[in-house]
Amino acid sequence: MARQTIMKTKTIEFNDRVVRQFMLASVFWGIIAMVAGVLIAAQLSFHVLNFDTSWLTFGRLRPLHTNAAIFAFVGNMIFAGIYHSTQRLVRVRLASDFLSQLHFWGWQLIIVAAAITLPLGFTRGKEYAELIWPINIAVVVIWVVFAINFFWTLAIRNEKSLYVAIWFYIATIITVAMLYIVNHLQIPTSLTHAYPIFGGVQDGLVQWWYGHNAVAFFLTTPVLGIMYYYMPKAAERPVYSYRLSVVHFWSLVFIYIWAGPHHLLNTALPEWLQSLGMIFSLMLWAPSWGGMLNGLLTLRGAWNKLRTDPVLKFLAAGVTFYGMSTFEGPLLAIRSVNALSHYTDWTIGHVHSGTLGWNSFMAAGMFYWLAPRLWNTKLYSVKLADLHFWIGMVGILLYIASMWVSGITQGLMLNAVTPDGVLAYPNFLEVVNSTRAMLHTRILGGALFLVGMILMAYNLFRTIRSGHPAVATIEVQVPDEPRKEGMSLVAGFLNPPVIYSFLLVLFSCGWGFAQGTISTVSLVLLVETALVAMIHLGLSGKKWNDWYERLLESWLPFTVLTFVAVVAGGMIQILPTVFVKQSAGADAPMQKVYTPLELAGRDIYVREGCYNCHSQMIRPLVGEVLRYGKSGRLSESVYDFPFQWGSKRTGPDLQREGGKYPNMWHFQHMMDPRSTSIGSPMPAYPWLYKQLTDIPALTAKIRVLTGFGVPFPPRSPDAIREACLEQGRTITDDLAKSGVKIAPDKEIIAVIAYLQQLGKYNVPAAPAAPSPPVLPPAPADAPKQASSH
Amino acid sequence: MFHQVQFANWSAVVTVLAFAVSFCVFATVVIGALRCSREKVRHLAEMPLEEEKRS
Repeated sequence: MARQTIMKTKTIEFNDRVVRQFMLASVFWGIIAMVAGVLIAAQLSFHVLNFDTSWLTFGRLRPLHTNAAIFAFVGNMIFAGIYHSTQRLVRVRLASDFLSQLHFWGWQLIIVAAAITLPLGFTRGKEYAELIWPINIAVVVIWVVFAINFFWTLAIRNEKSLYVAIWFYIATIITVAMLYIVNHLQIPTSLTHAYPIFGGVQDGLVQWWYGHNAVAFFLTTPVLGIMYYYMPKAAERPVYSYRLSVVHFWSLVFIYIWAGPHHLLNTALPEWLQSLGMIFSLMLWAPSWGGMLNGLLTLRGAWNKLRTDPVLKFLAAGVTFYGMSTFEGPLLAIRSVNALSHYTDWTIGHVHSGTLGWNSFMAAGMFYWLAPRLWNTKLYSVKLADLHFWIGMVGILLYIASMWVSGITQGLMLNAVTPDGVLAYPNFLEVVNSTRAMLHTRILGGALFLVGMILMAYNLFRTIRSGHPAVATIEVQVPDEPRKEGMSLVAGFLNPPVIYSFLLVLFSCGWGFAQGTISTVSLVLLVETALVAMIHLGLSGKKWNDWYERLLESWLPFTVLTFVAVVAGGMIQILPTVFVKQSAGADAPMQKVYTPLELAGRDIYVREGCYNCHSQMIRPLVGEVLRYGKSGRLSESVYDFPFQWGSKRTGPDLQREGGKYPNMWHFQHMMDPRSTSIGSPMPAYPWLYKQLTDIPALTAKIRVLTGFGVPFPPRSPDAIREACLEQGRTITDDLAKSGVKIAPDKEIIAVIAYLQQLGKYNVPAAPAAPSPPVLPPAPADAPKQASSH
Repeated sequence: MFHQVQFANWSAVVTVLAFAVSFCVFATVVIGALRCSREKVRHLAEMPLEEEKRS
């Protein structure tokens, strides 16, 4: 006789303190991120705003802006949303108050460390992954703290079923961990510097696998989870289609991870990877729009509330921007469209329609909904929130429309070729200056959005002052004995549906890939397995769905299943590129190993964030080849740790810059860009003429790179120093002819050495003519043959 | 030349295998979701709507 479970009533008090903390931190860092954004936008129009000061230049502040927007603003926002909604959805208090506080303060410390180190020039030189290795370790530790706190909460929950928002959070936690760790594998050369273990195309692919999926799993999936919780809350009705939300989730997890290579279309990346990235990007249209429609249709019967409820206004607009930017993303991933849009402002507009329209509006909607409830009061001013909405909306539209116009203009002008086969606009600055009006409009749009954020901060501040921190509770019925998970990890995988599915896939592959007998046997086994599965499930009386419905109540097998899906999609892009070097072929020009001075110059180039405006990858497009030279090949960046292909051309491509201009031109250009390039928005770098090249650091750097397989000739520290000074003197001697006197150990000399070697490669010697066969000596008495000559 | 051929074949096989594994997970759970019982779906969909007490 089954034992009847005795239930008892228990009052759960939620931990909303950490939710309040993360929410306030998000508002604060959001304003900081947007102030930095408006400043760097203004720097592109008015170069004087770089103030000739190293820590205020565009190249150093742009990473600060992007990191603050992604990890500080959106990061704190998603932590607030996840902690608030998870407690309600699983009907339990967060597992550990200590871990919650450690998570909050640890994350803020990381942000402060980033805000200090990035302007000082401590960077890894990889977009959205610039933070140096000690901070990377701190990020991993705090992420693990977050994961433990979250999964521990799931383990002690009082609600059997896991709502779809929880799935999105699980996917976020495990995928971001995987992406972050792989893209931050590096070997330190000092406390503040390290080289990534991947170089050239491998680094490019790993970087954009990370970069693209940081957008997918940091800026999208957690915010979708938030949408699926707060949209029904605000509309006071359930999500339009729960089934569609599940399909939305699995489609994103399945497809998103494969789409990273679309960031490297038309480059030297292998063709099959480019096609893979493009096809999976196009496939994303369906689930993204399914999710958007599911969110918007949740408002069915409540559209009238949009007129009066600022929360719904923000959420509905945010979801609409999600749809718009996820329509634009796959569009830009089409190779022919990408040929026009890549490296231009169009991409910048696309990114901001996502971060401002989707992330910021969703954050605002969530904060306006949360603040009155977390402080047990009413929103201070609905009118002010409405004003925020409209100012923000106008700001976004001005921003993205100006970037569309600017980006398309840049793409068309840079690729324009006359009927005579020459560039229509050979001067790059002509293109830059043609978009000035659009850049000014972008500043206005960004500034308006910032004003909206400040209005929100004021509105929330007044709301908080009128209330007090609320204590939120619910009563739950809990059994008198610990609840068991719906399914153990082993049962999650060793059960008929999973085993049959695995066998079906295995035999399908055997049938498709193998040849001869194995293929035939696989086909027979495939058919037999399908029949056995149907008979087994029919005879046992069990439904396929029994397994699935139990899975819905089990976080561990579910988490592992999600992990399998993202690992499979991720590794396929990474592993084959390990073999890319061999595929280059024997006739490819090989990159020259950097001299010590060139390596030092390269590290300064990375430190100053030059990659934010200059690419080093010439695409095989007519306009680019005419403008910059032969298109780039994989073998030309094999010694680049990190790769410097770039993603935006505010200035021209530099892949074949070496030798185009004399040393004196570079010397003057870096001191005062306008002296050589009239109208250039580039900042001046006067500190490079004062600071000394860090030659002692080169010993450790060369040792690490040698460990990666870069064939540096063995040199002692003294020999490295002498090599630097010797090469430096050749440059300073050349400059002296123009009347410039400067020491060979200044940083500018190292930068010139680096720039002058760009595009110079070792061309393999032509294969030697086959030597004539060596014949055995003829016997002395053999008859002499007549000569053919 | 030899490496290039090897690379291309190997990558193609692994790509298709990875796709098959991912698609298997995807298809299995999506079919499960679409066939999920109506009561279960209703219960799940209404989870966010529960109210709490505040003081």
